[in-house]
Amino acid sequence: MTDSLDIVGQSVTRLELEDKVLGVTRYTADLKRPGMLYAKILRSPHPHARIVAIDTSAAEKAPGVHAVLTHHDVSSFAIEGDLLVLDARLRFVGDEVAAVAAESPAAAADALELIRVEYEPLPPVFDCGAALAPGAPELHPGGNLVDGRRLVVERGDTEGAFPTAFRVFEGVFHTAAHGPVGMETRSALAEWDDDRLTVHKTSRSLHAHDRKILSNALGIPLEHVRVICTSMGGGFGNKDEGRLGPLAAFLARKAGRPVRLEYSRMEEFIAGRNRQAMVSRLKIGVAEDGAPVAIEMRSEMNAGAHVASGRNVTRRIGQGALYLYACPNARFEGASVYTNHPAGGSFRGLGAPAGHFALEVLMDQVAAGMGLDPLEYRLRFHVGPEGQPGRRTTPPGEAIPDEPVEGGVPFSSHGLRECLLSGAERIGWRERRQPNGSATGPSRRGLGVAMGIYKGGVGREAQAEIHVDRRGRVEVRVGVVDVGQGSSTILAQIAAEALQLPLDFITMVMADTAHTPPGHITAGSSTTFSSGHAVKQAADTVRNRLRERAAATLGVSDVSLSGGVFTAQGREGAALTFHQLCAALPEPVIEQVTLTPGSTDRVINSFSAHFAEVEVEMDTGRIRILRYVAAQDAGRIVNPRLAEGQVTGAVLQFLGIALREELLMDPTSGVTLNPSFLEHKNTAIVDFPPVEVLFASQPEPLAPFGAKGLGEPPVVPVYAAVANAVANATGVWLHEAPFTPKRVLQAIAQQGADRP
Amino acid sequence: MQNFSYHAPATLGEACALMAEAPDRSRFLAGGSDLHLALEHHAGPVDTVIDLKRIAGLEGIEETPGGGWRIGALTRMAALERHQGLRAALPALCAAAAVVGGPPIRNRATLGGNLCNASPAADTATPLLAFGAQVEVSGGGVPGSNASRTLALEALWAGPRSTTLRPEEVLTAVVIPPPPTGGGANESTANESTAHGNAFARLTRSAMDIALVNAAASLTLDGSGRLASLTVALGAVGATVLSVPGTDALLGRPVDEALLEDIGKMAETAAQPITDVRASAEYRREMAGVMAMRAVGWAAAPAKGDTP
Repeated sequence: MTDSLDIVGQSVTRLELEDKVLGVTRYTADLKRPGMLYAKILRSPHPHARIVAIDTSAAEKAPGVHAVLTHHDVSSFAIEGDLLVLDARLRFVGDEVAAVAAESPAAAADALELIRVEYEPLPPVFDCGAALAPGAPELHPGGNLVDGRRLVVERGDTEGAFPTAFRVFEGVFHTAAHGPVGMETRSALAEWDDDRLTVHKTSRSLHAHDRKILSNALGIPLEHVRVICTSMGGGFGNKDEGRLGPLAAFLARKAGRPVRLEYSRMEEFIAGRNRQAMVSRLKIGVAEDGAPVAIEMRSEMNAGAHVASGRNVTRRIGQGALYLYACPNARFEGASVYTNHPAGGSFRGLGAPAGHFALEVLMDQVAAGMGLDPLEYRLRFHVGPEGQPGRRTTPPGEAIPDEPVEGGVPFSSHGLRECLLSGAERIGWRERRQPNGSATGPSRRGLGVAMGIYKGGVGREAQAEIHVDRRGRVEVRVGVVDVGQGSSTILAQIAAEALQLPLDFITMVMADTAHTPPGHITAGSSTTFSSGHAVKQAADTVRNRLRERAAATLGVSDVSLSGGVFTAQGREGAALTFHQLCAALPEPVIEQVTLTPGSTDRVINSFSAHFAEVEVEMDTGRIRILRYVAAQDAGRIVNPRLAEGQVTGAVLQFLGIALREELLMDPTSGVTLNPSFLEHKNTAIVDFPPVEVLFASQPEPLAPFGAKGLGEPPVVPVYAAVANAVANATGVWLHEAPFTPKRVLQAIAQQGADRP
Repeated sequence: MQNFSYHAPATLGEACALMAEAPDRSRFLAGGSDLHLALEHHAGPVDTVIDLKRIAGLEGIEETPGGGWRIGALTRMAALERHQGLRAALPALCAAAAVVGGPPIRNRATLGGNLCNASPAADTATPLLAFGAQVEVSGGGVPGSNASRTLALEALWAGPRSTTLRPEEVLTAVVIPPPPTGGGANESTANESTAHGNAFARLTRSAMDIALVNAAASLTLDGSGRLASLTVALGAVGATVLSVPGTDALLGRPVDEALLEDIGKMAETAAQPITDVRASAEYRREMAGVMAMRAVGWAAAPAKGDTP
């Protein structure tokens, strides 16, 4: 690796920016084909029902209608364990009943009203407790506890340790369901050419998911399926519903014409994938000096009608409790529970924000109870570079998990302390922080801090291909999707740096199964680390081969490469441009790499320390965010401007989620009450102050050019940073998110803060 | 959105006559910011949209003798927000106009449209009610319709999204009377040293949102700082925007904490809120008190008269 970097570390303009600004970018829903039909979906009016009979004859005869699809018309292939392409059993209000393809969206919508469905309503169940009670209606075979068991992971012996604790602190913390709200709604366009299928789709996993699902559901060979995502208008780890692609493909096959299916905003809120409600019961035992000796978290997630990636969501609630503070005994127990809520799924940070809300607010209560400043408490007891106490359980030589439980494994890089110190200095913690609840008057200010720990180097199997042809065209082919986070730019910077070529020599080819090697899912903040590794390794090899060839051409033993020119070492004046070299290539240079990065003896994690300054109106309960400082440890920053954008976007998104965003459901009918921008209030640019972003300085030794994951880590501490600042301002602890004014007033009333 | 035929008549008479032809399936269009959503989501079938914007004389802000104002129905929120004279005299109305939607909406949305949409959360309605405004309406000379007439603003609304106007009638102007010279308990002391103030307060979930509760106050202080007149109106806590009754009983008192406490209680009593996805009835009732206190406090202290 070169010590001085030319392109990695520069705020180069993102590759697709000009097209997006000029409106040239084509998103899936912008695409049209000759003869294309428009699809609409009939959705269940019942939270739980069985389709007894369905009559589509009138809809099929309606003007402009070319295909109607019901569960009778599709294969019985299970897209996921608990999800069919269409199902006679309906599990939430808004579940897919049937689909129509017609010559206009209006004709398709009109035809939906002509479908006659006889439903047998079944008893619904909406909350976890009721769903797990004996005799509850079973949503899926095997019962409502997903996988029939609670996930349990433990380090040490919490049961034995709690009785030895000097003090034990306990708390229950709730987070609500909310919509992730990408600006682009879900969309798929399916077209058949004989028995070959091409699907354009909003997606974060073309190779690993969509292509396989389509091949299996439609019963055609994998190589007959091409999936493309032209451009994503917001990913957030969320666009992984399984039905969209198969529905469009079945309709297109039945109609014999291309079909495009596009979700409305209301459908996006109801039938996209939402973050579902979670509750965590947390218990922390501390020694006389305040050091945690045992931490136990028990969490439940209302998974809704289908678990989707909910197992991972639930698991991630617990990681902070298991790993953020040095503690010999830690235990997490998590349950995912089926209910007749809309299906949940993954969304930026999965369960980590909810888990850190519980952990970091209760840790503030611990600090207060032990008479320690919350910053001092964290500086003293956060997990250090040496890792958790205890013994390694991963067998020698095997990769350390990205969500470890074991002790005895050091971190590969560890910038948490630097984040705490730099963030505290920026917000003026030591000069300005007052004791909790000491403010007076109608509006009270306070400072809060919260930390976060998250996967920083997810080792997914990653592939990259680099092609250099005689025209000097350098194609970097990667199968992952740039979901809007800028990964195409980041991977291009990594390629250019490793190739020692100017950035504009690089052409990125992504998100098309026909032109890229298999790519992993864009999830877990893994693209820079995993695909970045593959791109770098391929580029290193290509660079070395080109340099050898240049040296041979120039008749020297070695050349240097800079600005697209090979210069002979040790022979003045002899040089060769990159394009001259390529023109003389006997054949294109092609390098393909498949690897699974990771470590067998280190934990690779990203860290956060966030600081919020808030003002609470004691008469309305309204929280104003006055300042927000986010310090992130993401190793080396490949593109500072993009990275700051990631962090700023993450914080603003989660400030909205922390303060107000909530999907409300009627408790008897199961109808989602606010599936619109008018009533599910999302953050507007005028709502919050600019986020002050700081980065720790230590590169990650095991990452490509030292860069760890950054997409999700900055969302993790936001709930808790705000709640702790509110506690500082008012003396009142918030245990239920979002922190609506009404909840703040209730907490003030219940916990007895004096109002002016 | 449904298909409809679009008309843009040049006179009020033509507009009203068109409406009279098929009142059930026609809608007047002013700025369109509410109608557009209605057509997409909750209006019944609409065949005909009658645009009022080509009709001359329905737009503009003018001061009337004695310190009153006459505002044309097609006057846009942006014009209200920016009008210097209005900002000095009726800051409550300008503040309300300034929070309707975002700038693009305020460049389209009209005062008449905001009032005729008859939402109980219409922000401009609350200060206008506190001012004791009247509205002028016209049937455009359509046979069988009322002649042009003037009615008190509170008589315009029948309930949520419902007015008392005949289908062909158009609201043409809003008339705001001059502020009271001071009367009631302090009539004898009313003189040139009386001061008028008005203010608007509002609570929302986010920076750009429909009001959970809004309140406006208009008051006169006599030379010794005691209340010579006071009206308080509340929005989004009833079927229509409503006035807080009984404020006359407070005349003669200084605007101090005790008075504000009393205003808050009166507003809580006057409020008839509902629970919906935006807020619960109990929170709205409590906040009606808080917003009324703020509006009165700000109205009495023009130096602090900024709205949040």
